[in-house]
Amino acid sequence: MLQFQFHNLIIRKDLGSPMRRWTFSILLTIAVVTATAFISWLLVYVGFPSPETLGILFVIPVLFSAIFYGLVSALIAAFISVLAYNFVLLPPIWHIGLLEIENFTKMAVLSLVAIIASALVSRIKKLAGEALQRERILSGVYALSQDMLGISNIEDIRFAAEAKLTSLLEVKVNIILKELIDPSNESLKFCLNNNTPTGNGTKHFPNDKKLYLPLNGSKDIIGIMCVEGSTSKPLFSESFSSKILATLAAQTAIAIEKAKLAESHEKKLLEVRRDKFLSALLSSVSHDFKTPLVTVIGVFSSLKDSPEIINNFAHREMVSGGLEEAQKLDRFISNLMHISRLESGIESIPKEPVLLRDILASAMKSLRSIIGSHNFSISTSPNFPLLKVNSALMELVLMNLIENAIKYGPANGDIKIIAMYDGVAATIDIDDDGEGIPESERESVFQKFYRSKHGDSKIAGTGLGLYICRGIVEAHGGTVTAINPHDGKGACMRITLPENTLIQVAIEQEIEYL
Amino acid sequence: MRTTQHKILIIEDDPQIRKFLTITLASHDYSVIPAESGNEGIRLATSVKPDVILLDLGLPDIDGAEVIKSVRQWSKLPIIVLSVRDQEEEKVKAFDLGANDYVTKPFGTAELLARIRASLRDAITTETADTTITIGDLTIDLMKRIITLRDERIKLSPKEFNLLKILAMHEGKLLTHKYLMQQVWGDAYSDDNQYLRIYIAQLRQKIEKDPARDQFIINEPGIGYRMEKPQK
Repeated sequence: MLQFQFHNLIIRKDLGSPMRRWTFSILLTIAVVTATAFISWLLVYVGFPSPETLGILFVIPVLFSAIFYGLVSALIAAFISVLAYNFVLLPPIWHIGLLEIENFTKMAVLSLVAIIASALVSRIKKLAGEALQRERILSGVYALSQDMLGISNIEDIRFAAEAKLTSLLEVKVNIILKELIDPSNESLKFCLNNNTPTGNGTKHFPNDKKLYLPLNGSKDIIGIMCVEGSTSKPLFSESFSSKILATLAAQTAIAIEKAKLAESHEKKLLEVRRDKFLSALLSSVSHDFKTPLVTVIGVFSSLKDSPEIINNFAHREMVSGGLEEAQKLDRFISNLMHISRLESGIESIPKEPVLLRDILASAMKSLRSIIGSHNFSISTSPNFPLLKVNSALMELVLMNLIENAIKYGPANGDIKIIAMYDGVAATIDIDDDGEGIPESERESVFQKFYRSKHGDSKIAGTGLGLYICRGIVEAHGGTVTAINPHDGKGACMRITLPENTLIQVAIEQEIEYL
Repeated sequence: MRTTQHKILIIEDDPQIRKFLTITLASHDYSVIPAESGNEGIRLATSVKPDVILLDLGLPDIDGAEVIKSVRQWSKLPIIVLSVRDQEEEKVKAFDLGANDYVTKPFGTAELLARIRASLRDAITTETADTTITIGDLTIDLMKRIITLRDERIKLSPKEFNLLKILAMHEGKLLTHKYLMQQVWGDAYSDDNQYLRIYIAQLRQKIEKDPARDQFIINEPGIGYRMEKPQK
C-alpha cells in the first residue's frame, strides 16, 4: 500500500512544471489548514469544553504537507496553522495576536513535527525509490532472459533483445554483433578494442549521442549494445544506473553466446548426420545404380559391335530392356535429387492448387514402362477437394507408392487408388495385391535405406522411396502410413493431408449433352 | 514425303546431346543446324531462319532466357525448351518469355519428335478440316458433338465438350491455363484457373476410364495442359 502511494508520487513528481507544482502544493496546504480550522471552529461552536486542546488538530496539515510536499511546505503549513489556531481557537476569537507566547511554543512544536516528519518521509521515499529501481532491474533482467528462452537462432535473439531493451529503457537500443561492426565508427572501434563503455555519459567520446556497451562472452567480446541518447541528457550517469545497463548487457551477451554455441553444435550434428547419410548413400548408389547400368552398358556395347541386331526382334526386346533400366535409373536420380533438397531442410516449398487426378496422371505416365497387365482403378469421393501442394514433390510420392505397388504385387494384380475426404482431412490410399507388409515392419519400412527381410531382396530398390515419401508428405503437414488393406490382402499405403493443403471449390451444375 | 525439309536450330552446349539430337533429327528428314552457345544460336537464328529452335536453358555464355527474349524481338518461330527436372521455376519463366513448349531431359526420341511435329503444325480449324478428330481410342465428332471411347458413347456437359474440343484441335501442343480459360470461359476468368482444374478432373473421370492406358490429358505443372495420344 505504502509502496503504491510512493509509486504514484514519483509519477506525479514527473508531471507538470516545477512552478505549477509549487503553487499547487501551497494552495493545497492552505486548503487543508482552512479545513482543519473550520472543523475546530465547528467543534467549539457545538460546545466543545476546552477549545485550546483542539490545537493538536493542526498537526494534521503539517504532517500532510511534510509527507506529500516536503520540508518547506510543511514549515509553511506550520506557520499558517499557528495563525489559524490563533484566529479561530485562541481568545479573543477572530483576532490574530502574533506576539503571544503561546504562538511561539505552538510554532516551535509544529516546526519540529514538520522537520521530523519530512526527514522521515524523504528517507522512506529514497528507500522506496531504490527498491523500485531494484525491482525494475530484476524484472527487466527476468523479462529479457525469459524472452531469450527457447530462441536458438542468433538473429532472432538479436531482434528479441533489441525489442525488449528498447521497451525497457524507453530509448532505441541496437545490438551489433562483432563481425558486423563498422570499423569506420571511431566510438564503436574504441569500445571494441578497449572493452569499456564508450560514448554518451562516459569518459571516452562523451560527445557521441549514443552510448556503447561491450557485450562480453566467456572468452571474448561478442558484440556491442548501442543505446540511443541525446547530448542534453547524459545517458550513462543519470537516466539509468550503470548497474542496470551492465546487467542487461551481460544478460544479452549470455543469450547470444548460448545461441552461438547451440548453432555450432547444431552444425556439427548436421555434419555428422550428413556424413552418415553420404556413406549410406554411396553404398546404395554403388549397388543399386550399378544394376541397371549393367543392362544399359551391355545393350549399348552389343549395338556398337553389331549394329545389325537392331533389326532382329529378339534383340529389339533387349534394347527396350536397356531403355527400361535407364528410365529406372532416371527415377532413382530424381528421388535422390529431391532427398537432397529435403535433407538440406527446405521447409518453405512452393505450393500451388492442383488436382489429384493431374498428379496421378503424371505419375502414371512416368511409370508407363513398368506397367504390365495390372488393373488400375481410381475412385475419388465426389466432394474431394483441390490440393494445395508442391505438385512435383507430390507426384514423386505417388510415383514411389505406385511403383512399389507394381513391383511388389503380382504381374496381373489389381492396384486400387482410393481418395476420400471427410470434410476435414483427405486420405489417398494405394492398395495392392502383393505379399503385404508384416505388422512388425509397417513403421520400419519408412526408415532410410531399410530393406524388408521378407524376400524382396531380389527386387531392385534404393530403400529411399518410402523415406522420401514420408519426408515430402510431412513437409506438407501430413502423414504416410502402412494401414490394413481394404480387401484384407496385399499392402495399403495411406497418405493423409491436413485441412490447410485442401481447397474447396464450388462449381456450377451443368446438364450433360445426350 | 515432305517437299521441303524443315530446318531445326539446336542450341545445346553438351556435345553428346548435340550429336544425338543431330543424328536422330537428320534421320527423320529434318535439316539440322547445331549451335554450341547462346550467342552463336542467336546469330544463326537470324541468318538461317529456322522453322523450330530447340533450346537448352543452361548455356555456358548467356542464360537461355536471354536467347528467347532476343529471338522474340523479331520472330514468333516456335521455341522448344530442353530443361532438366530441377529447373521448374526457370521453365515457367521461359514460358512467360515466349517459349512454346518444353521437353524434360532425359527424354525419348518419340516424345521430342511429337513436340516438333506439333509445333510445326497449325491447329485444326472446324471450317477447314475434318469434323472428326481421332486421338488414340478417342473419337470426337465436332459437328455432332459425339464423343466415343472404344466405341462407347461418352456424355459431356457443354463446357467439358468445349474444353475437350480446344485441347483436341491443338493435339500435342501445350496450351497455357490462361489460354484455355479464355477459350472456354471468356476473358473475365483468365486469371483464376480453379474452374479449369475442376473441369479437367471431370473430363479425366469420363475419358480416362482406364488410368493405366488412357492418358490423354497431360498436366504441365505451373504452365498448362496438352492433349496427347497415349503412348503404347
